[in-house]
Amino acid sequence: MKPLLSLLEAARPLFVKRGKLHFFKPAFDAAEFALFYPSSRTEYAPHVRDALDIKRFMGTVILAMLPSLIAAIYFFGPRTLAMILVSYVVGGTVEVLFAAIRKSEIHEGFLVTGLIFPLTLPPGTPLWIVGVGIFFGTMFGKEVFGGTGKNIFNPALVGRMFITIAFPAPMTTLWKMPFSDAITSATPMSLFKTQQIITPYVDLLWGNTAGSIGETFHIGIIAGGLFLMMTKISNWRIPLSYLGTVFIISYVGNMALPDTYAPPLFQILSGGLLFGAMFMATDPVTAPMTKIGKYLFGIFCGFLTVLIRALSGYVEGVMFSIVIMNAFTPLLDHIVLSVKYRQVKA
Amino acid sequence: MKFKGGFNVRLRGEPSHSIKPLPQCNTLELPLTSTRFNFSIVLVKPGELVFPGDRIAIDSDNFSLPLLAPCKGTVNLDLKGKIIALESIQQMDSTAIDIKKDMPERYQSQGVFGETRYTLVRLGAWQLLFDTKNGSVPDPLDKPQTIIVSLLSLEPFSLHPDVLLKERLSEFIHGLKCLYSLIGDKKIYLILPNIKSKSIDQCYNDLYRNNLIRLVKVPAKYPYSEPEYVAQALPEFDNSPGSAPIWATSVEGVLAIDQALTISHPYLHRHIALGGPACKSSGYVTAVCGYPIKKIKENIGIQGKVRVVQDGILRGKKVDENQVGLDTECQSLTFIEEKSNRDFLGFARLGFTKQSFSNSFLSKIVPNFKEKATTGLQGEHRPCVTCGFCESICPAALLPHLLYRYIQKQRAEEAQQLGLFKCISCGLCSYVCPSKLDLFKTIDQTKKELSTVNKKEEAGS
Repeated sequence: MKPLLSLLEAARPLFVKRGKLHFFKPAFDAAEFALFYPSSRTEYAPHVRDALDIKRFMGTVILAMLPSLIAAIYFFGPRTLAMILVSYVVGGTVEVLFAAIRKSEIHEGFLVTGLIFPLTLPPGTPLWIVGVGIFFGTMFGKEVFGGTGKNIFNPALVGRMFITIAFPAPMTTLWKMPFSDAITSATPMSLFKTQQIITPYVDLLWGNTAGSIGETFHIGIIAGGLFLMMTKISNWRIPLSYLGTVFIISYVGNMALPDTYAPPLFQILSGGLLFGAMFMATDPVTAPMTKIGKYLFGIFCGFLTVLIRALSGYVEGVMFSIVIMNAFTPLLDHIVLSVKYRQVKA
Repeated sequence: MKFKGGFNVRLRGEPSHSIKPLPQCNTLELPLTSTRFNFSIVLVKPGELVFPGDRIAIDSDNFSLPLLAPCKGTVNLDLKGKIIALESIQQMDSTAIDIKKDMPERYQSQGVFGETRYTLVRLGAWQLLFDTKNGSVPDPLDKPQTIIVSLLSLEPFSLHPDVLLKERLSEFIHGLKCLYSLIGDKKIYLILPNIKSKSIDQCYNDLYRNNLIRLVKVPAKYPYSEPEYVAQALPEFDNSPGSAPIWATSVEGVLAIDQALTISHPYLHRHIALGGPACKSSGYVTAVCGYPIKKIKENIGIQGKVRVVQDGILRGKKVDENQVGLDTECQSLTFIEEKSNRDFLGFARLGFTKQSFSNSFLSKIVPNFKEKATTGLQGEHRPCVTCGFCESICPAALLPHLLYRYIQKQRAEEAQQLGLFKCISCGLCSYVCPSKLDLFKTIDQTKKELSTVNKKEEAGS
């Protein structure tokens, strides 16, 4: 690997201050440090550090989404890859530009956002809409707040929500069944909403249904979500309370109004609920940091999801519920902390 | 007692449990400053001949605690470099010292109580005691709630008390009895691991019958071995402001107290643990203050670019390359290779050779895996993503990332409300942070700054 390293060393003068390509220094640094870890050392105690860094942290999230990704490509063909590519190119450009303007380093978060976002879209989404969505999501969901770690809303969901509202027709009609190019509008959720048809659970589990490209293969999502929890990258509290609440409320609702509230297992295995609960609600930046806050976050998300699914004009409520609860995250944390440290304040 | 957080950093190169001799040397260079002490008043003149146990300097800020001459030798001063050198030294058996000769009025007026306390101060044993609240030296005439003695040491590469106990168990038990009467017949708290061990059982049987001690059994997980932690976690201790302090000492401290009170010998020879991944022949040595570090390095075969860390890799300090001799507080020296190579695609490695608090490396499935650590940062600095690792590892149940955020925004008061002073400075938050933030350094510094401000305010009012 030495020739590659010396090549990078040779290119470095172009990017230093007063170099010709100084503006692109963040991009060069990102490329260099992705290939070769910097040899930076600790200066203070602790003199030895844990091997986990943000690159691997984000890499593990992507690894956990691989089953969904592979299933998406398998089910909906190479067009999926084009959607992901568009998402990465546009999202990456926004990230690089902002890093260059801010003169800061490029953060790895966009690698996750750029993958989550296309996986939540219907298979027939035009590529330009994918571009618009990720542009809006990264720009107004993350960068304007000050970049990684400072955003209030999950950037992928901000983008998804923007295009859902801006282009309602393609976002609600361009579904496809796996292995077929025929456009259908019948996802399991809409089938229940309009005709109270319950798709067989086996089909739901294996992803033999219409739906967003990454959210139909539920076995893969469950495996990926459990993997994330086992590696401690995501916290189990949010998925547990989220899914638990959905289960309980839909169980009660289904007993009372079986035509409005779908049965609990169907709720959990259809639509984007598992994908949202495993990969999006658990985003550490936009979810509460306190433990009780996490439980509350999950409970409210579950509550909102079932209510929107059953009672609103929208078929799916996962996206809205997570974004709404993102807005309440600081408040939840504030309440929990002020109760916990009440005695100290007095 | 509730345990929260904590983590054992498992690294290769723990010191082997053998005590080795060190070669003789001709010159000792005693640094006048160390982490807690600043021996600013020098009592000797250049060319003066000193004998083991003589006072050669005192720390006027810390109750005039003395720096003792470890050997017979001729004084040479380098006050700019803050060093007292002892030249052409000769090893001599230390002898009993008459302490009554120069006992200050402050101690004399307190009778026997003052005399015992002054013996410990004069013979160098007092500096092995510390206050669990802030790690400072306690006032020799103060009366504590109790004393905590830890029989455990879980920070990697630190001095393991078992090594001392194996040889000097009876002295240790006697020392505990001295300690018991020293603090006014209050029970001493012994921290033990909740595992079976022969020397511990023996110690326990003897002391328990005497009603001297209370046992605190903790899991063998860092930092439960630290008295600061136990002082905070045990409900029977009074931690409210204004309460009597809780003191702590090590096994070495108990032995020094025993030696001072029974045979009036000064505490001069200390045990030092030598270990670390770059140390080829690890072990323990007995050395005196001022012994040249270079000679220790030569003796155990250290080559190349190696960082020397004193008193633990999680909390200790880097030994300055210009520092020549051991300072008066040194308990362990750890040798770690300075990181110089760059890993190709480091973040995507399977990770059979990397240790992590998270389970995202395959070393997790390797039994008894220990990492060969370097001083590499293992990543780049990034903003905090609130991953919560620091919170789940924090033994004091704090939110280190939030404290850090408040301190960065100059809102130290809010940080104080969130329990800044409960921090026991274990260093685990920084160790685990994937964004490589200097949480420990920031929190620790702010704590120190605030406590000096508070002290000044108290003194002012």
